[in-house]
Amino acid sequence: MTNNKYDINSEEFIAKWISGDLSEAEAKAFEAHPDYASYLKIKELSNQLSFSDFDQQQAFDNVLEKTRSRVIQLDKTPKKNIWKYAMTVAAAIVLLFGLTKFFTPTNTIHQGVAGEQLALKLPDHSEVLLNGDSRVSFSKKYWKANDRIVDLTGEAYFKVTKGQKFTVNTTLGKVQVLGTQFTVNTLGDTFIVKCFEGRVGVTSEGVYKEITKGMAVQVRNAAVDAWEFDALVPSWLDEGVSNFRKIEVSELIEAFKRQYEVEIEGIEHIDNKEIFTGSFPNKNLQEAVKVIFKTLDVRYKLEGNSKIIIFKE
Amino acid sequence: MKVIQNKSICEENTFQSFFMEHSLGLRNFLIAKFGNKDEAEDLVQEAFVKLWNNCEKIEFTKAKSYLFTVAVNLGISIKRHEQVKFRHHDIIADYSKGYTNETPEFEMESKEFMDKFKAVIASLPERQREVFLLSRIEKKTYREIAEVSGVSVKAIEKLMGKALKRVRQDLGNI
Repeated sequence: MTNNKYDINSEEFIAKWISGDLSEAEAKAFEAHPDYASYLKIKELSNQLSFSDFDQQQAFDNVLEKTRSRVIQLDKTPKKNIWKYAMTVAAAIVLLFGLTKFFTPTNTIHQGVAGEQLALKLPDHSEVLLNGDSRVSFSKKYWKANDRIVDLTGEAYFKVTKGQKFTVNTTLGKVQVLGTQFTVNTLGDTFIVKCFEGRVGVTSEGVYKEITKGMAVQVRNAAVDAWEFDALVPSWLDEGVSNFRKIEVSELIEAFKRQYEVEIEGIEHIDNKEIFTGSFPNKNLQEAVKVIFKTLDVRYKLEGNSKIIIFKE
Repeated sequence: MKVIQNKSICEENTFQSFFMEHSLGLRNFLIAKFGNKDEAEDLVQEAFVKLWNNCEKIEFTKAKSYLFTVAVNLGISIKRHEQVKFRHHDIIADYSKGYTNETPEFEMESKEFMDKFKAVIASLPERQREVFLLSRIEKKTYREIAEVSGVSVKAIEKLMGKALKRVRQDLGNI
């Protein structure tokens, strides 16, 4: 092979050299490079490195201890603090009752603000957990046990009670199920559905796809991407983390703004079509900003807790 | 009904051998990612506790990726507000490897040089440092790193190349 795929000065070339992924001829050619000696030294030096020792047995014992102490705690509490416990339950009931009263009789529209999640129950006792800055609505008047329909903007996790057809309508597509658990997210032009239990039918832009537990489907401009995941509940409920796969930057920013009320200046300096895969925390602005803008490789400044300035490269 | 013939994480022996097989790799991955040994080891424990508590719901074949995902998500969500400085003494150098034919004087000199080398690595931008350490210490392929990071192999190679160029520059005359 005579033609080299990579320029000898490119990042990829040096990366492939140190990992031993170059062809013999390419590696040979690199030996004549003026910086070859110093790269060789870096290779040798780094071969001597390792991470400090790890006491695996100790760590394992700690894990066992943590799993056991959890069980003991659970056994103890109810008896000992029975009154306190009863009070908590009473308070929770009042609170729940209050919320239900507030939400069900008159309003059929529920809207969360950025960064806040909202839990609500539908007339059939199906549950909806609304992610930040998202909105769900249904017509109480026309709600029927055999044709359950809700409209959604943004993202929500649905725990649907067993029964007749349940439909989630969005501007990007619709999801129909019987009884199951899933999330629906409309983000920019992207429609994302993840199934956590049972089976879900997804329709969007003329595409129909059925997914089951542990499967996700994402549709943008009729292009379908499907994958499998391990999470048992949405990461935004369980771990307080937003998690995305191959979304466009404009969509990432929209998702970010659902969690944080911040103004972003100089957004035009980022290539909107760049693709992002990764996670950011929902309750830690500094870290979220760092994860996002470092990954996008842009220079930025966080001013206070309300403004991000992005600089021109 | 599915016949249970697969190994289950809920079985204590299986859980223990799974821990022994993956905890070190996970811990080193987390050091490379978050730059702090103590935090990495806390995360390892938390992730395994979570795995154990959810063992019934997780297939054995998916346990590893579940473990890594949980640990990274926990790390992202709890990471301190202040920028955590990468601590380069969490990396150690084994001088018996490499300069086998050198005199003791040379080894002394190289120890100082090694410290500088480690400091230069520690000061790399986060993503470059992560790729550098996973590639050079953990001996992960670029494909493997790309898979856990969710970006393309090309992007990882670019980061690695950038890291190498920068290390060379920061080390000065070598």
